[in-house]
Amino acid sequence: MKNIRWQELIPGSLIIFMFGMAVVSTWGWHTAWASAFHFFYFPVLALLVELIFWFFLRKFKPYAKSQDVLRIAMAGLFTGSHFLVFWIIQAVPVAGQFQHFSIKWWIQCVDIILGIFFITVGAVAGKSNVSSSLKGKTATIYNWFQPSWENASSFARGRSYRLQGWLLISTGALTLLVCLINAPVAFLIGISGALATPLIGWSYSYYVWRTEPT
Amino acid sequence: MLNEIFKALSDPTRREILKLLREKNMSAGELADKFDLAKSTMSAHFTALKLAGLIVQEKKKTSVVYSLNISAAEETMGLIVALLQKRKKKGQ
Repeated sequence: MKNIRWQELIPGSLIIFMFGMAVVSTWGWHTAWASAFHFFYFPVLALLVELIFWFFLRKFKPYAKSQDVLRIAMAGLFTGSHFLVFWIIQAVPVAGQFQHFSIKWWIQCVDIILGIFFITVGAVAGKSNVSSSLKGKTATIYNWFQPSWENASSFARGRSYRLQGWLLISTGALTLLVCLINAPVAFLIGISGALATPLIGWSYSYYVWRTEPT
Repeated sequence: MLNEIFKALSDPTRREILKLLREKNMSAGELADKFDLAKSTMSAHFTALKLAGLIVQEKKKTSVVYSLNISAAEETMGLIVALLQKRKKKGQ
């Protein structure tokens, strides 16, 4: 259990996230073709991309100089490729059935992606404290970089990560809720929440580090 | 994995340990002093929490220091388990 690399949950959770996206993205698309496309082909494509990357991860593992860097790189590729698949695949039906296109729906889809992504990352954020050898690298996923006081104190780091996790969950939930009322505002909430999260985390961990009980 | 987490969270003493570790990292001795339990029982509780990955231990000189390693999802699970147990007790 202690050897589990929790950051691997992020690309793993993207499978669930993509399946969820396939379901919610049928909003505003009521043609039979679009429904079949979203419910069947889209999840299958997403899963295929996952499998290809898992295959490459296994293949390259023995040759990688640093396993941790490789894992982080793969997590980035997972995320990037999924977004790419989503946008390219979505662009085809939009081009084919232009009368269905609505910018509001489009932004709503982005809001849902952001919301689910933030909730997923936030839900596992506190676990990044598990391995001291990874503390600087895993933090780059959602904390950009590790301030020196977080490296110095595991207690401050743990507390900051948990707070950031809850902040990301709140941002994600708020984005999902507001996107039902006003999609552009929800997008702004999502982006500003994601930017504010590490800033609050750094300030909080600094405060904890200064007042840390010995 | 989930089984281990639920097993660890189902015990009120273990939930109390997690609550204490939220305040600060503590040694096994410090934690044992907070409870009226035998050291062997406390050790079993620590093992269950460690197996579930909810706490991590670090050796500092002669003592073992425990720190919290819990995610928001697990915190929520803990709250739900505590709530369900309270309801069950009320119902009895």
